[in-house]
Amino acid sequence: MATAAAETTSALRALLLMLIAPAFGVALGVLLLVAVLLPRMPMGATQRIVELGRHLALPPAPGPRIVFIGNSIVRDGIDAQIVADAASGDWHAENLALSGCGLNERRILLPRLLASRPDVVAIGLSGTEVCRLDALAPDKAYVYAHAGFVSAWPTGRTAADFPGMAPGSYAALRSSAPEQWVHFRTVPANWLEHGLRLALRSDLRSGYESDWIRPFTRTASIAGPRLARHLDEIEKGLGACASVPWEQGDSVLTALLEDVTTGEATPLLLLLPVHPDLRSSAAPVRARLHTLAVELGRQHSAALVDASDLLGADGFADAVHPNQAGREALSHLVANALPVREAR
Amino acid sequence: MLFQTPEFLVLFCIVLLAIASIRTPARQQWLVLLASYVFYGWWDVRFLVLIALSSIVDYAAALGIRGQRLSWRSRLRISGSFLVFSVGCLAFDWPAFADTGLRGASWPGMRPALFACLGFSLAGPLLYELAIGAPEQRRRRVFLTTSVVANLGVLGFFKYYDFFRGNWVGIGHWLGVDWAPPALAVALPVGISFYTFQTMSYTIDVYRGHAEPETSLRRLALYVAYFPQLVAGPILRPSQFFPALAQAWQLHPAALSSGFHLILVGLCKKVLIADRIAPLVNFIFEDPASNPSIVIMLGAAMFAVQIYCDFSGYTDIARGISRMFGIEIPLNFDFPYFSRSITEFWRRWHISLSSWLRDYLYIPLGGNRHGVGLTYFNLMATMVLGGLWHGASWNFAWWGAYQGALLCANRWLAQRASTLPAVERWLGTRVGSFVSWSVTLYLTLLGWIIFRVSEPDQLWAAVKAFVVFDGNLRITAIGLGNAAPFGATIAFVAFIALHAVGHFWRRWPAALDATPQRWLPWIYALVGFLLFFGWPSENSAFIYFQF
Repeated sequence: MATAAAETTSALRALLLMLIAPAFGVALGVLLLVAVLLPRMPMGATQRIVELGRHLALPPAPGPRIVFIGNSIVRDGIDAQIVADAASGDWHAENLALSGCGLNERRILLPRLLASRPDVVAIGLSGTEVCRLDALAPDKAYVYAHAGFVSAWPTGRTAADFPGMAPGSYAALRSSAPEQWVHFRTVPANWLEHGLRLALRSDLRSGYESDWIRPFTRTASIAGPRLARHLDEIEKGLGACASVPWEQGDSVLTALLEDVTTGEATPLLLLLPVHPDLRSSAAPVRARLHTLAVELGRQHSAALVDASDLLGADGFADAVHPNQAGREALSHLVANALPVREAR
Repeated sequence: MLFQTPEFLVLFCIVLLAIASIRTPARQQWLVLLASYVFYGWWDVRFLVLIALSSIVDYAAALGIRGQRLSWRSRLRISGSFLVFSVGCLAFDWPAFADTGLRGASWPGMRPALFACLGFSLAGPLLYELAIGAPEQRRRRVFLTTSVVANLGVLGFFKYYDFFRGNWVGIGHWLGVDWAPPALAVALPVGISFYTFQTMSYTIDVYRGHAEPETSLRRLALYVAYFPQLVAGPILRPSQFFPALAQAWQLHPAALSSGFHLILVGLCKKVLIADRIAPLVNFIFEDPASNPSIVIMLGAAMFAVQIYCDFSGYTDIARGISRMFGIEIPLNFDFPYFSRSITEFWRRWHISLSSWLRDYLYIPLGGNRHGVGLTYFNLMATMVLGGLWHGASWNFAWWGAYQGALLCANRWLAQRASTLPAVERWLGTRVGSFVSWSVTLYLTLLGWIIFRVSEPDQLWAAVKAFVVFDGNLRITAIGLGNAAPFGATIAFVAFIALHAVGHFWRRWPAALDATPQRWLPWIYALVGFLLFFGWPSENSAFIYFQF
């Protein structure tokens, strides 16, 4: 009996070791992450969100200001310097677009952005973000919470304000700092992925994360089978988009415009360029988007710039993103649509 | 409930502490049975009814096969308990703690399911009375048939109804027949293929006289629902499980330590390798037709590592947990990718399933006892059914047929080679071994493509790209965005290195067992550290859970 009791005691001691020793390793990991890695290590593909949080914490530039929000098409498609230089008046322009930034994501960041009092908020639209609301990857959601975007929300926002968002992602938006730390254990891996990706892809530019003037990433255009594959992929997405209801996207876009006008800024709806090879397959989506933009523009006194047919094939780096020539043409088009505003 | 979740850690600690403090076998077994039902019910409480049903049918059938009559009182007690249990599981809208998307107050199957349970509770004791009174041979056959039909019926309905309905609609449309069975959108209970095969092996072994019928429903229910291996095996035989129930379990430091090492190795396989590789594999096989040969080859190799680490990782964890209790679960994987023939591969891959198929399907079909033609037929039939066991999709049937064809070819070549001493000698040399290994690995990878890609057009394109090299060496076609290719590559290379060390030197759990005690806390801490940084943002289910 005494032997059995002794064996049980030593078994429980072994069990304790099995719990404590790995927990010690985890605790060391947390310490390393919080004290060393997070303050120093960029967050990889989501670093631009962190940088945007930092940028918006700085005092805004004086004078009339236009800010661009949207996804990577806007990020690669707008040269804010050209917009500022070509516009009539003393405009200051900033391109704050983020990769994969759908309508829900734009609503997440808008309160913090509007706190910096921009005069015009230009919203890039290609149609797909309206038909397919972004579920938002948890990774991004944690970064938005970490970068202070959620704490700037007006009171009373709930998950219902973000239809289509995954419940886990909404929970991540509302996460506490310790929850964020545990999540950000993925930062070293993300940093490695992002760094290697930029190192190996000669057609991608690094350092765009904190660039608010020319944050484009693509430095070369693709052609041949790679372009054909990309066109195919986009065409499939457009096909799927044409046949689904847009009510939810419509309501989120409406709410987005209400947010902008409530924040005393003027919305500008920018219908993004469509690759010539996609124009026929994109026709139903373009028609729906145009009708929606005209209707919402009228309701919210938003300016509408339709750049759908602006670029030829030589204006694109791939099936959707403008290249240098496309960027210049699109930026000039937007600049010409801006009213004359002088510095106050 | 997934092994790699906090809730499982809590359940596991409770069970271990309870085993340490409870001394009687019966109470320990009740406790582990309860834990098993909680573990399974975490997905969806409703499907516990199927496990209970399977346990009761096989308990009664095995006793009936041996002519051991259950009293009316026992029968009524069992059927009454089952009815109460079924109502408890089916009539309430229990939360599904795991995100299965299966719950909902408007569940349309509730009423038919409750009626079926009521019918079973009322008719079961009466039918038992009719069958138990039959002459011996007939009685044995009736009880065995009841068990097999009940288990395969449940499996067939839940796993294959929608598949066969879909095919029937297609064929009917082609033939001009418009009638189709109703679409039920039946949800697949997790692990149903595993516990169904396990419980069938029990009644078949009792029928064959290889096992004694279990007189305790508690012990049989524990055999069916034993949580470490309930949802993805290994498929246990009665002789591998029941002897461990004869006495009270006691926690031994050596067994705890050894089991823990298996759990650590399994977790590392699943979390640090399989889950790291998964996004890239998913990306490549999402649209294989758009990828060049080199990417498809890489995808096949990556999937081979992913499925191995996922499944053998699960098995390691299951074996480790069970070893901590004092129940030894047999090895399910024995370095299959080092096989030098397909026959050898199947002796090393998912050993519990391949031996089950051999003992309960291939040999009863006649095995190799009725001539060459029938041997090949039996091999093909066994492997096609084994393929379909994995899932209700034609690509699994093709995969099974492919494996069957390879086994037939292997058998034929082996027989031919045995008549040619020079060839046999060459196969024994290092070069011959290397060539055999390379060919086997190539064929295995091709098989994994058939297993992984379910769309016929995409499957054809992927197989073609794998077999006929297109000369395009541009690997940049791999997604460099969300697919996390570099993490996947690091995990892939690390696996190959560590796996080779494990094969040529010593299995990693055994190496940990042999490590001096003073080093173990530091190794555990290091593993904790690595798991912390390597753990994916979201826990993903094990691949074989869907089977």
